Amino acid sequence: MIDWNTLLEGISLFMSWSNFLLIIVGLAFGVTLGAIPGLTGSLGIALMLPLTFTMDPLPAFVFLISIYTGGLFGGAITAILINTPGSPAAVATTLDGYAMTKRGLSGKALGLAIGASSTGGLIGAIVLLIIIQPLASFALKFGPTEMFIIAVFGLTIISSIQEGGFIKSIYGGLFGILLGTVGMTSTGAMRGTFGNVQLLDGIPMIPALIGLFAVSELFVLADKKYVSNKQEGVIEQSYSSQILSGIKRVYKYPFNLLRSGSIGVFIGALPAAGSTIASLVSYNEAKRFSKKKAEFGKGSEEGLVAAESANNASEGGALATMLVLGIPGSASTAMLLGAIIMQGWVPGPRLFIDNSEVLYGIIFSVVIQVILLLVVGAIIAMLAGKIINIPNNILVPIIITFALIGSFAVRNMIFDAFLVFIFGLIGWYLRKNKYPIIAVVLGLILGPIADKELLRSVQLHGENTMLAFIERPVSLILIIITIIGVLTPILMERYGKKKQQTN
Amino acid sequence: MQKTFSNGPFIHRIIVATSILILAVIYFFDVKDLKNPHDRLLISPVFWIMVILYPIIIWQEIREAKKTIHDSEEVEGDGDSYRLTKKVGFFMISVMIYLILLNYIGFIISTILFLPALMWILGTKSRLFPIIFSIIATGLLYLFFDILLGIPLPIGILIEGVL
Repeated sequence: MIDWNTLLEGISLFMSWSNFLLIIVGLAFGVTLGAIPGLTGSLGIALMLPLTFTMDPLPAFVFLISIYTGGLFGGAITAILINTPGSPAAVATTLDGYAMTKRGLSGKALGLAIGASSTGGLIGAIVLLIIIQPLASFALKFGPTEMFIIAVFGLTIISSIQEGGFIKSIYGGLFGILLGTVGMTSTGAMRGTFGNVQLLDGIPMIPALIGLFAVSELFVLADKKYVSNKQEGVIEQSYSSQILSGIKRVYKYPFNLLRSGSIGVFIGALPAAGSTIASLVSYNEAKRFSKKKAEFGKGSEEGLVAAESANNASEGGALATMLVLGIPGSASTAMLLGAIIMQGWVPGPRLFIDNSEVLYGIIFSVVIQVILLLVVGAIIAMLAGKIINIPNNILVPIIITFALIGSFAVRNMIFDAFLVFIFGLIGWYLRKNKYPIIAVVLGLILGPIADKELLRSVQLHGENTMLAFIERPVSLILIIITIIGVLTPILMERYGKKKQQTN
Repeated sequence: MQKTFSNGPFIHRIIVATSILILAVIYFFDVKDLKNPHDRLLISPVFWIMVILYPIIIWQEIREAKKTIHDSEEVEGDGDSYRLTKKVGFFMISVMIYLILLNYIGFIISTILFLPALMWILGTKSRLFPIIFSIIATGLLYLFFDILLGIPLPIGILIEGVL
C-alpha cells in the first residue's frame, strides 16, 4: 500500500509552476493530436521524446504522460462530432456520442466525455497510487489462456448489437475476425496477403477504422446540408453551457463511473489489452446493467460515460504494469518505457524501489492532469464543436483530405490511404444493407488478439489446452463471467417479456 | 401506403452476404495448405460458423422481402440517405482520382485540384471561394504535417523525377 512519507516527498518534488505549465501544454498537445484521425497520443510522445532528453526525470515524465492523458481523451472529440474515432480506443464512444450529435446534442456529448474521461482518469490514478504493486503483480498471472478469454469476452458485445439483427451482427463480427487475422503469423506463415508485402503486419487498424467509420459516414453526409439534423447553422443553446451541463450530468451515474473505471484500470493493467478493450468491455457491461438498454447506440448517456471513463482509467493500470514490471501494454507505454531507459533508469521491479519518490511524484501528477483535463478538454472541445456548424460541402472535403493524409502519415504509405477508401466503400455498402459496422470493427480489433493468444495457449499447453482453460482458476472464472454475460441479457429480456404479458 | 418494394434492396443484401462468404472461402483455401495447423486455429471454426450462418441469413432476407411485399411497407434502411446519388458517385470517383494523382503529382498539386473539385461536386456555388480555400487549406495541412510534425507528405513520382 501507500508509503505516505515517500508520497509526500514525491508531491513536494512535483510542486512547481513549471510542472503545471508542462501539464497544460502536454494535455493540449495530446488532446489536439488525439482528435485528428490517424494521429494518436503515442505519436505525440514519440515527437516530444527527444525534447525531454535534457530534462530532469520528473518534469520529463510529467510532460510525456500529460500527452498520453490528453491523447486518450482527444479521440472522443472527432468520434462524437464526425463519427471518426481519433484512436481505436474511441470506437465505443462513436456509438452513442455521434448519435447525440445527430440529435443536436454534441455539446452535451462532449461535456459527458470530458467529465467521464476526467473521472475515469482520476479513478485510475488513485488506484495506481494505492495498489500499484499488488495490481501489477496480479496482472502477471494472466497467461495466454486468460487473454484469449478476455478477447472473447470483448467479442460478446456483438451479441447485444441491435442494428441489423443478431445473425447479421455475428456474421459481420466473424468477417471482421477473418480480416483481423490477415498477415504474417508468429510462426512466419503468410495468411491472406496474396503476395502483398504491405499486408505482412496485417490490415493496418487506423486506415480500416477511418474508412469504416469516417469515410462511409462522409459518403452519407455528402447528401445532407449539415452534420446535425436539428441545427441548420445556428446553435440554440450556448455551446459552453451545453458542455458544462454534460460535465455535470456525468456525476448522475456514480455506479457506472465506478464500475467502468474499475474495468478500465484492471484491463489497462493487462499487457497488450489496453484502452480499446477496456472501453468496449465496460460499454458492454454498462448496457447489461442498464435499465434503458434500448437507448444504447441511439445516444445513451450511460454508454458514453462507460466508454470514456474506462478508456482514461486504463491509463492507471497500464502505467502500473509499465512502472513496476517494465512491461509496456501499448505503443504509448512502450514510448514511455523508452523515456525511462533514456533517463538512464533500468525498467523492472527495482525501478520502483530505487526511485520511489520520483515515481510517486509522477503518479501524483496524473491526479493533477486529469483534473486539469476538465479545463483544457472543455476549451478544445468548445473550439472543435464549431465544426458541426460548417456546411457539409466545405466540411466533407476537409475531413476526407485529413483522413487520407492522416492514414498515409502513420506508415508513409499511399497504400494505407487507398485502404481508407476501400474500407469506406465497404462500410458504406454494409450500412446501406443493415450490417452493423461496429461488429466488423470489433472482430477486426479483437480477432487478432484472440488468434495470437489461442496460438500461444496451444504452444504452451499442447494437447492439454482445453484442460488448461478449465484448470487455471483465473481462466475458469473468466469463462463463467463470459457465459453469464452472454446469457443474462437474453434471460432478462425473456423475463421482461413474460412480465409484460402477465401485466 | 404505396407499394414500394423492389428487388433492389433484396438483391443488394444477398450480394453483401454472398460477397463476404466468397471472401471467406478464398481466405480459407489460402490458409488451408499452410504447413502448421496452428496457423489456422481460429480461422477454421470462424469460417465454418460463417458457412452455417449464410443460409440462415439468406432465409431471413427472403422472409423479410416476402413480408415487405405482403405488408406493402417501405423498405427500411433504404432511405434517401443510403441511395447512391450522382453526387455521392462523383464524390467516390473524385477520391479515387485524388489517390492516383497523389502518387504521381504529390500532395500539394493534387490537393489544390481535389478540394475545389469536391466542393463543387457537393454543391458549392461560388467559383472563387473553393480555389482560395483549397490553396489556404493545402498550405495549412502542409505546414502541420510536414513542418510541425515532421511527417513527409507524398511528393509524387513525376515531381520527384523532375527534382
